[in-house]
Amino acid sequence: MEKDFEELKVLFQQKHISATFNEKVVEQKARNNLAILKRNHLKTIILFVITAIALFLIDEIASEKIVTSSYGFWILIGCSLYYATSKTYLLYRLNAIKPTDDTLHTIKQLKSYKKMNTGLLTYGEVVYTIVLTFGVYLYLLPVFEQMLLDKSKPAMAYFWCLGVAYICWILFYTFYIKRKRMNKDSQIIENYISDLTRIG
Amino acid sequence: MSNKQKIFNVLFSEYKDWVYRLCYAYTRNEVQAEDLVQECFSKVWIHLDSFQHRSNYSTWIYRIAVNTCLMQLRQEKNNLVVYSDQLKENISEDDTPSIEEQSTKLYKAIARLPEIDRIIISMVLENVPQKQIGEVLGITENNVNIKVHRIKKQLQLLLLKEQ
Repeated sequence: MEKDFEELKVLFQQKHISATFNEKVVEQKARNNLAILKRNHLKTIILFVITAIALFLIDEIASEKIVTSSYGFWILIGCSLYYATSKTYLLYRLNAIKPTDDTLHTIKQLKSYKKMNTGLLTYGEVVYTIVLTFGVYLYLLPVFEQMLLDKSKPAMAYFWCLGVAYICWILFYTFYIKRKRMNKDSQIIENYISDLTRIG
Repeated sequence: MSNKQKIFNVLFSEYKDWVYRLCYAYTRNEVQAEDLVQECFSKVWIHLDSFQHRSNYSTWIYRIAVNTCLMQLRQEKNNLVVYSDQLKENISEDDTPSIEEQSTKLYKAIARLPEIDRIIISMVLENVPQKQIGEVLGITENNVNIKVHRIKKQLQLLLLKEQ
Protein backbone atom coordinates (compact mmCIF):
# COMPACT_ATOMS: atom_id res chain seq x y z
CA MET A 1 0.00 0.00 0.00
CA GLU A 2 2.85 2.43 0.88
CA LYS A 3 4.54 1.70 -2.47
CA ASP A 4 1.27 2.46 -4.27
CA PHE A 5 0.95 5.62 -2.28
CA GLU A 6 4.44 6.77 -3.32
CA GLU A 7 3.29 6.35 -6.94
CA LEU A 8 0.22 8.43 -6.18
CA LYS A 9 2.49 11.20 -4.88
CA VAL A 10 4.32 11.25 -8.22
CA LEU A 11 1.02 11.35 -10.12
CA PHE A 12 -0.33 14.09 -7.89
CA GLN A 13 2.74 16.27 -8.43
CA GLN A 14 2.38 16.05 -12.22
CA LYS A 15 0.05 19.01 -12.22
CA HIS A 16 1.58 22.47 -12.64
CA ILE A 17 0.16 25.94 -12.84
CA SER A 18 0.13 27.57 -16.29
CA ALA A 19 3.35 29.33 -17.25
CA THR A 20 1.49 32.59 -17.94
CA PHE A 21 0.48 32.89 -14.29
CA ASN A 22 2.92 35.30 -12.67
CA GLU A 23 3.50 37.18 -9.47
CA LYS A 24 2.85 40.59 -11.06
CA VAL A 25 -0.85 39.73 -11.58
CA VAL A 26 -1.14 38.54 -7.98
CA GLU A 27 0.60 41.62 -6.62
CA GLN A 28 -1.82 43.83 -8.55
CA LYS A 29 -4.80 41.89 -7.19
CA ALA A 30 -3.47 42.25 -3.64
CA ARG A 31 -3.12 46.00 -4.09
CA ASN A 32 -6.68 46.17 -5.48
CA ASN A 33 -8.03 44.13 -2.55
CA LEU A 34 -6.36 46.47 -0.09
CA ALA A 35 -7.78 49.48 -1.92
CA ILE A 36 -11.32 47.99 -1.80
CA LEU A 37 -10.97 47.31 1.93
CA LYS A 38 -9.84 50.88 2.61
CA ARG A 39 -12.63 52.24 0.37
CA ASN A 40 -15.27 50.27 2.34
CA HIS A 41 -14.00 51.67 5.65
CA LEU A 42 -14.00 55.15 4.17
CA LYS A 43 -17.57 54.72 2.83
CA THR A 44 -18.90 53.91 6.33
CA ILE A 45 -17.15 56.93 7.83
CA ILE A 46 -18.31 59.25 5.02
CA LEU A 47 -21.88 57.93 5.36
CA PHE A 48 -21.88 58.77 9.07
CA VAL A 49 -20.35 62.22 8.52
CA ILE A 50 -22.88 63.02 5.75
CA THR A 51 -25.81 61.85 7.93
CA ALA A 52 -24.57 63.93 10.86
CA ILE A 53 -24.05 67.02 8.65
CA ALA A 54 -27.50 66.51 7.08
CA LEU A 55 -29.09 66.27 10.53
CA PHE A 56 -27.33 69.44 11.70
CA LEU A 57 -28.40 71.30 8.53
CA ILE A 58 -32.01 70.10 8.76
CA ASP A 59 -32.08 71.13 12.40
CA GLU A 60 -30.58 74.53 11.55
CA ILE A 61 -33.22 75.19 8.88
CA ALA A 62 -36.11 73.68 10.84
CA SER A 63 -35.28 75.59 14.01
CA GLU A 64 -35.82 78.89 12.16
CA LYS A 65 -39.47 77.99 11.57
CA ILE A 66 -40.39 75.74 14.51
CA VAL A 67 -39.00 74.89 17.91
CA THR A 68 -37.47 71.42 17.57
CA SER A 69 -36.61 69.15 20.46
CA SER A 70 -32.89 69.07 21.25
CA TYR A 71 -33.38 65.68 22.98
CA GLY A 72 -34.83 64.30 19.76
CA PHE A 73 -32.00 65.81 17.77
CA TRP A 74 -29.27 64.24 19.92
CA ILE A 75 -31.07 60.89 19.94
CA LEU A 76 -31.02 60.96 16.12
CA ILE A 77 -27.31 61.86 16.09
CA GLY A 78 -26.71 59.05 18.62
CA CYS A 79 -28.59 56.56 16.43
CA SER A 80 -26.50 57.56 13.44
CA LEU A 81 -23.30 57.20 15.48
CA TYR A 82 -24.41 53.79 16.80
CA TYR A 83 -25.19 52.59 13.27
CA ALA A 84 -21.80 53.67 11.90
CA THR A 85 -19.81 52.28 14.83
CA SER A 86 -21.68 48.96 14.92
CA LYS A 87 -21.07 48.47 11.17
CA THR A 88 -17.40 49.40 11.54
CA TYR A 89 -17.05 47.07 14.52
CA LEU A 90 -18.61 44.14 12.61
CA LEU A 91 -16.27 44.81 9.68
CA TYR A 92 -13.34 44.97 12.09
CA ARG A 93 -14.34 41.62 13.64
CA LEU A 94 -14.68 40.05 10.21
CA ASN A 95 -11.30 41.37 9.12
CA ALA A 96 -9.77 40.09 12.35
CA ILE A 97 -10.39 36.54 11.07
CA LYS A 98 -6.95 36.17 9.57
CA PRO A 99 -6.32 33.64 6.81
CA THR A 100 -2.98 32.97 8.51
CA ASP A 101 -4.57 31.45 11.64
CA ASP A 102 -4.96 27.72 12.02
CA THR A 103 -8.29 26.21 11.07
CA LEU A 104 -9.57 25.52 14.60
CA HIS A 105 -8.83 29.10 15.61
CA THR A 106 -10.74 30.28 12.53
CA ILE A 107 -13.78 28.25 13.68
CA LYS A 108 -13.70 29.93 17.11
CA GLN A 109 -13.49 33.39 15.56
CA LEU A 110 -16.28 32.63 13.08
CA LYS A 111 -18.56 31.39 15.87
CA SER A 112 -17.91 34.49 17.93
CA TYR A 113 -18.49 36.73 14.88
CA LYS A 114 -21.74 34.92 14.10
CA LYS A 115 -22.98 35.46 17.66
CA MET A 116 -22.13 39.16 17.53
CA ASN A 117 -23.63 39.61 14.04
CA THR A 118 -26.87 37.84 15.02
CA GLY A 119 -27.12 39.84 18.26
CA LEU A 120 -26.65 43.18 16.53
CA LEU A 121 -29.04 42.35 13.72
CA THR A 122 -31.81 41.07 16.00
CA TYR A 123 -31.88 42.54 19.52
CA GLY A 124 -29.61 45.44 18.53
CA GLU A 125 -31.82 46.31 15.59
CA VAL A 126 -35.02 46.20 17.68
CA VAL A 127 -33.52 48.50 20.35
CA TYR A 128 -32.14 50.76 17.59
CA THR A 129 -35.58 50.98 15.94
CA ILE A 130 -37.36 51.79 19.22
CA VAL A 131 -34.81 54.48 20.13
CA LEU A 132 -34.86 55.89 16.58
CA THR A 133 -38.67 56.02 16.56
CA PHE A 134 -38.63 57.76 19.92
CA GLY A 135 -36.04 60.23 18.58
CA VAL A 136 -38.08 60.95 15.45
CA TYR A 137 -41.21 61.39 17.59
CA LEU A 138 -39.49 63.79 19.99
CA TYR A 139 -37.85 65.72 17.17
CA LEU A 140 -41.09 66.12 15.23
CA LEU A 141 -43.30 66.67 18.28
CA PRO A 142 -43.56 70.44 17.66
CA VAL A 143 -44.55 69.69 14.05
CA PHE A 144 -47.16 67.19 15.19
CA GLU A 145 -48.55 69.73 17.67
CA GLN A 146 -48.90 72.25 14.83
CA MET A 147 -50.57 69.62 12.65
CA LEU A 148 -52.99 68.62 15.39
CA LEU A 149 -54.21 72.19 15.77
CA ASP A 150 -56.25 71.52 12.66
CA LYS A 151 -58.88 69.04 13.85
CA SER A 152 -60.57 68.64 10.48
CA LYS A 153 -61.16 65.09 9.17
CA PRO A 154 -58.69 65.24 6.22
CA ALA A 155 -55.94 66.66 8.44
CA MET A 156 -56.49 63.94 11.08
CA ALA A 157 -56.61 61.24 8.42
CA TYR A 158 -53.36 62.53 6.92
CA PHE A 159 -51.72 62.52 10.34
CA TRP A 160 -52.79 58.96 11.16
CA CYS A 161 -51.91 57.67 7.67
CA LEU A 162 -48.42 59.09 8.11
CA GLY A 163 -48.06 57.43 11.52
CA VAL A 164 -49.40 54.05 10.41
CA ALA A 165 -47.22 54.08 7.26
CA TYR A 166 -44.13 54.81 9.38
CA ILE A 167 -44.92 52.00 11.83
CA CYS A 168 -45.65 49.53 8.99
CA TRP A 169 -42.41 50.40 7.23
CA ILE A 170 -40.30 50.18 10.37
CA LEU A 171 -41.84 46.80 11.29
CA PHE A 172 -41.35 45.47 7.76
CA TYR A 173 -37.76 46.76 7.62
CA THR A 174 -36.75 45.49 11.06
CA PHE A 175 -38.55 42.18 11.14
CA TYR A 176 -38.48 41.17 7.49
CA ILE A 177 -35.72 42.84 5.44
CA LYS A 178 -33.13 42.90 8.23
CA ARG A 179 -34.00 39.39 9.47
CA LYS A 180 -33.76 38.06 5.92
CA ARG A 181 -30.29 39.59 5.56
CA MET A 182 -29.25 38.21 8.93
CA ASN A 183 -30.48 34.70 8.10
CA LYS A 184 -28.53 34.79 4.83
CA ASP A 185 -25.36 35.93 6.65
CA SER A 186 -25.84 33.30 9.35
CA GLN A 187 -26.37 30.56 6.78
CA ILE A 188 -23.12 31.39 4.98
CA ILE A 189 -21.17 31.45 8.25
CA GLU A 190 -22.91 28.27 9.42
CA ASN A 191 -21.83 26.54 6.20
CA TYR A 192 -18.21 27.63 6.69
CA ILE A 193 -18.27 26.37 10.25
CA SER A 194 -19.83 23.02 9.32
CA ASP A 195 -17.06 22.51 6.74
CA LEU A 196 -14.33 23.47 9.13
CA THR A 197 -15.57 21.54 12.17
CA ARG A 198 -15.06 18.24 10.37
CA ILE A 199 -11.39 18.38 11.34
CA GLY A 200 -12.19 18.30 15.09
CA MET B 1 12.90 45.95 -5.77
CA SER B 2 11.83 46.17 -2.11
CA ASN B 3 12.69 43.50 0.45
CA LYS B 4 9.00 42.55 0.68
CA GLN B 5 8.81 42.08 -3.04
CA LYS B 6 11.95 39.91 -3.06
CA ILE B 7 10.56 37.63 -0.33
CA PHE B 8 7.20 37.49 -2.08
CA ASN B 9 8.77 36.51 -5.41
CA VAL B 10 10.73 33.71 -3.74
CA LEU B 11 7.63 32.42 -1.92
CA PHE B 12 5.59 32.65 -5.10
CA SER B 13 8.01 30.65 -7.23
CA GLU B 14 8.58 28.14 -4.42
CA TYR B 15 4.95 27.43 -3.51
CA LYS B 16 2.79 28.36 -6.51
CA ASP B 17 2.58 24.80 -7.86
CA TRP B 18 1.92 23.37 -4.43
CA VAL B 19 -0.90 25.84 -3.78
CA TYR B 20 -2.24 25.25 -7.29
CA ARG B 21 -2.39 21.47 -6.77
CA LEU B 22 -4.15 21.93 -3.44
CA CYS B 23 -6.69 24.28 -5.05
CA TYR B 24 -7.09 22.03 -8.06
CA ALA B 25 -7.66 18.96 -5.88
CA TYR B 26 -10.27 21.02 -4.08
CA THR B 27 -12.07 22.52 -7.10
CA ARG B 28 -11.31 20.08 -9.97
CA ASN B 29 -11.39 23.10 -12.25
CA GLU B 30 -8.27 24.79 -13.65
CA VAL B 31 -9.74 28.29 -13.95
CA GLN B 32 -11.20 28.24 -10.45
CA ALA B 33 -7.98 26.79 -9.07
CA GLU B 34 -5.97 29.64 -10.64
CA ASP B 35 -8.41 32.16 -9.20
CA LEU B 36 -7.90 30.61 -5.78
CA VAL B 37 -4.11 30.66 -6.16
CA GLN B 38 -4.38 34.33 -7.03
CA GLU B 39 -6.59 34.95 -3.99
CA CYS B 40 -4.22 33.00 -1.77
CA PHE B 41 -1.06 34.81 -2.87
CA SER B 42 -2.84 38.12 -2.72
CA LYS B 43 -3.44 37.34 0.98
CA VAL B 44 0.22 36.36 1.33
CA TRP B 45 1.20 39.78 -0.08
CA ILE B 46 -1.23 41.64 2.20
CA HIS B 47 -0.15 39.81 5.37
CA LEU B 48 3.56 39.48 4.58
CA ASP B 49 4.42 42.55 6.67
CA SER B 50 2.75 41.01 9.72
CA PHE B 51 4.51 37.62 9.41
CA GLN B 52 6.19 37.10 12.77
CA HIS B 53 8.37 34.05 12.08
CA ARG B 54 6.53 32.01 14.74
CA SER B 55 6.19 29.28 12.15
CA ASN B 56 7.90 28.45 8.85
CA TYR B 57 6.92 30.33 5.75
CA SER B 58 5.61 27.02 4.40
CA THR B 59 3.23 26.40 7.35
CA TRP B 60 2.07 29.99 7.07
CA ILE B 61 1.36 29.68 3.35
CA TYR B 62 -0.34 26.28 3.84
CA ARG B 63 -2.66 27.87 6.40
CA ILE B 64 -3.54 30.67 4.02
CA ALA B 65 -4.12 28.20 1.20
CA VAL B 66 -6.29 25.88 3.31
CA ASN B 67 -8.37 28.74 4.73
CA THR B 68 -8.75 30.28 1.28
CA CYS B 69 -9.95 27.00 -0.20
CA LEU B 70 -12.36 26.27 2.64
CA MET B 71 -13.80 29.76 2.88
CA GLN B 72 -13.75 31.05 -0.65
CA LEU B 73 -15.62 28.40 -2.54
CA ARG B 74 -18.37 27.45 -0.13
CA GLN B 75 -21.07 29.17 -2.16
CA GLU B 76 -20.01 27.48 -5.37
CA LYS B 77 -20.19 23.98 -3.98
CA ASN B 78 -22.90 22.90 -6.37
CA ASN B 79 -20.86 23.97 -9.40
CA LEU B 80 -17.95 21.86 -8.24
CA VAL B 81 -20.03 18.72 -8.41
CA VAL B 82 -20.87 19.55 -12.01
CA TYR B 83 -17.20 20.05 -12.86
CA SER B 84 -16.25 16.70 -11.37
CA ASP B 85 -18.98 14.98 -13.33
CA GLN B 86 -18.06 16.73 -16.58
CA LEU B 87 -14.50 15.48 -16.28
CA LYS B 88 -15.69 11.91 -16.04
CA GLU B 89 -16.22 11.85 -19.80
CA ASN B 90 -12.73 13.11 -20.60
CA ILE B 91 -10.98 9.94 -19.51
CA SER B 92 -10.42 7.33 -22.19
CA GLU B 93 -11.17 3.69 -21.63
CA ASP B 94 -7.70 2.56 -22.77
CA ASP B 95 -6.26 -0.48 -20.91
CA THR B 96 -2.96 1.30 -20.24
CA PRO B 97 -3.80 4.81 -19.25
CA SER B 98 -1.16 7.50 -19.73
CA ILE B 99 0.40 9.35 -16.80
CA GLU B 100 -1.88 12.28 -17.59
CA GLU B 101 -4.96 10.05 -17.46
CA GLN B 102 -3.84 8.38 -14.25
CA SER B 103 -3.24 11.78 -12.74
CA THR B 104 -6.73 12.89 -13.82
CA LYS B 105 -8.22 9.77 -12.23
CA LEU B 106 -6.36 10.50 -9.01
CA TYR B 107 -7.63 14.09 -8.87
CA LYS B 108 -11.13 12.84 -9.64
CA ALA B 109 -10.95 10.35 -6.78
CA ILE B 110 -9.69 13.08 -4.45
CA ALA B 111 -12.63 15.25 -5.52
CA ARG B 112 -14.98 12.56 -4.20
CA LEU B 113 -13.56 12.89 -0.68
CA PRO B 114 -15.15 15.21 1.89
CA GLU B 115 -13.77 18.76 1.65
CA ILE B 116 -11.43 18.74 4.63
CA ASP B 117 -10.14 15.27 3.70
CA ARG B 118 -9.23 16.61 0.23
CA ILE B 119 -7.10 19.25 1.88
CA ILE B 120 -5.40 16.77 4.22
CA ILE B 121 -4.62 14.23 1.50
CA SER B 122 -3.28 16.98 -0.79
CA MET B 123 -0.80 17.93 1.91
CA VAL B 124 0.16 14.29 2.45
CA LEU B 125 0.69 13.81 -1.30
CA GLU B 126 2.95 16.88 -1.25
CA ASN B 127 5.08 15.22 1.45
CA VAL B 128 4.10 17.76 4.08
CA PRO B 129 5.08 16.25 7.47
CA GLN B 130 2.13 15.28 9.67
CA LYS B 131 3.36 17.59 12.44
CA GLN B 132 3.12 20.50 10.02
CA ILE B 133 -0.36 19.41 8.84
CA GLY B 134 -1.40 19.48 12.50
CA GLU B 135 0.01 23.01 12.85
CA VAL B 136 -1.89 24.15 9.77
CA LEU B 137 -5.22 22.73 10.94
CA GLY B 138 -4.76 23.28 14.67
CA ILE B 139 -5.02 19.58 15.63
CA THR B 140 -2.54 17.13 17.18
CA GLU B 141 -0.11 15.02 15.18
CA ASN B 142 -1.83 11.88 16.52
CA ASN B 143 -5.17 13.11 15.27
CA VAL B 144 -3.64 13.82 11.86
CA ASN B 145 -2.12 10.34 11.79
CA ILE B 146 -5.50 8.69 12.42
CA LYS B 147 -7.18 10.83 9.78
CA VAL B 148 -4.47 10.24 7.18
CA HIS B 149 -4.72 6.48 7.68
CA ARG B 150 -8.48 6.57 7.15
CA ILE B 151 -8.32 8.93 4.17
CA LYS B 152 -5.63 6.82 2.45
CA LYS B 153 -7.90 3.74 2.69
CA GLN B 154 -10.85 5.71 1.38
CA LEU B 155 -8.79 7.08 -1.51
CA GLN B 156 -7.57 3.61 -2.49
CA LEU B 157 -11.19 2.42 -2.56
CA LEU B 158 -12.24 5.38 -4.71
CA LEU B 159 -9.36 4.72 -7.11
CA LEU B 160 -10.42 1.09 -7.42
CA LYS B 161 -13.93 2.25 -8.28
CA GLU B 162 -12.52 4.62 -10.90
CA GLN B 163 -10.75 1.77 -12.71
